[in-house]
Amino acid sequence: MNSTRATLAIARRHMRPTWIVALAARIAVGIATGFLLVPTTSPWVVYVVALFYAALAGAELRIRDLMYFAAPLYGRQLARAHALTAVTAALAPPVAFFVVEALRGTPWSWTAMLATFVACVVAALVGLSVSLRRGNAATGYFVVALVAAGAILALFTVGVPIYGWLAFALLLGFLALRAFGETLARYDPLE
Amino acid sequence: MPQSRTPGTPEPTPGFCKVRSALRIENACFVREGRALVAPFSLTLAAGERAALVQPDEDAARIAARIAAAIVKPTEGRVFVGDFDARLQPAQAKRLVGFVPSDGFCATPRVFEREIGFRADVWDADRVAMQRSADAIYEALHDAVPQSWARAVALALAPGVSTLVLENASAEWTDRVAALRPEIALLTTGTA
Repeated sequence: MNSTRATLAIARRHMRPTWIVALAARIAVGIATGFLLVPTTSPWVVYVVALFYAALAGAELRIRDLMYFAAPLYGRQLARAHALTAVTAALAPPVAFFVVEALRGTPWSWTAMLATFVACVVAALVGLSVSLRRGNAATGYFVVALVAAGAILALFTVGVPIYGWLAFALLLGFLALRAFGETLARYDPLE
Repeated sequence: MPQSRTPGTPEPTPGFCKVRSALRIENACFVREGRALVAPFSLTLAAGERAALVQPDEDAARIAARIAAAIVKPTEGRVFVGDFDARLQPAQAKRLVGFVPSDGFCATPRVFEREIGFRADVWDADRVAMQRSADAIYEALHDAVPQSWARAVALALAPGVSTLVLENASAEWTDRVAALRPEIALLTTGTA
């Protein structure tokens, strides 16, 4: 089994025209945020927008598609493939925002950019679990995604050394992806 | 020539030979929130054999088909596709079984082509050969059955599976598929 080929095939299958349009909208949000911000604005405005769209990137994927469950893949392989798509979408708004800020001559520090990217990745990975749930459980996972990623940015903001919040983010990301993979392996597509 | 045998093992029965099953289901059932959606059922199919699994309603037929195709895990019981336990080796089991949902996977030729490409990548098969195989199956079926269903069958058979599960398929359509691929084990689910 060529795992990379399968992973890319699943990612490509997600990246349909509607996904491309959604990605363009995310980039537009990042650009608009970059232009609308004034130097006195709290960075948390950027963080909240970025984390919301990152969690949504995981939550909105069509993971319940029967084709994925009929494919000869393990849950962890499926999880990695879905995560690749979600993380790509999640990073679009902050990348667009930071490019605009750099062009305007007000670039952020590299640690702030790294913290934002890492938090967005974690939000997207936790957000993936929303896609397999409904109702209150889905809302709960969405909130958990925002809180977990927000905690990384809070650690960065209060001055925790880089290896501290980076290790925390790695742990959260690993646990989120693993939990998602196990949920996929147990999931029974009945619809 | 004398043959060595582990002491204590029974003598082999004369004339006995092990028939390898393509699909074996042992007391599989499905329970959700305390309600039995699929009652326990068992069946064994060898290559070239056919069976119709009748369930009390469409939901039960759908779930039973997905249990047989290793897509849904039974609450109790076991499913073997070839030599593979669908619970322990789901990827290997799914490689040997094709599944056709009642609504089909492919509404349009464009989607069909895209799904063939997807399937070739995921099954790690040659894309051109799989496309050719799927097109041949579709050509043989599309006059006799709905086109979207013919595409779904072509998609399911294209990777060269040994077992095919048809969810809520009519007897007439099943006959067509059986005539086309007499060498595979074919399971149909439906309602009484």
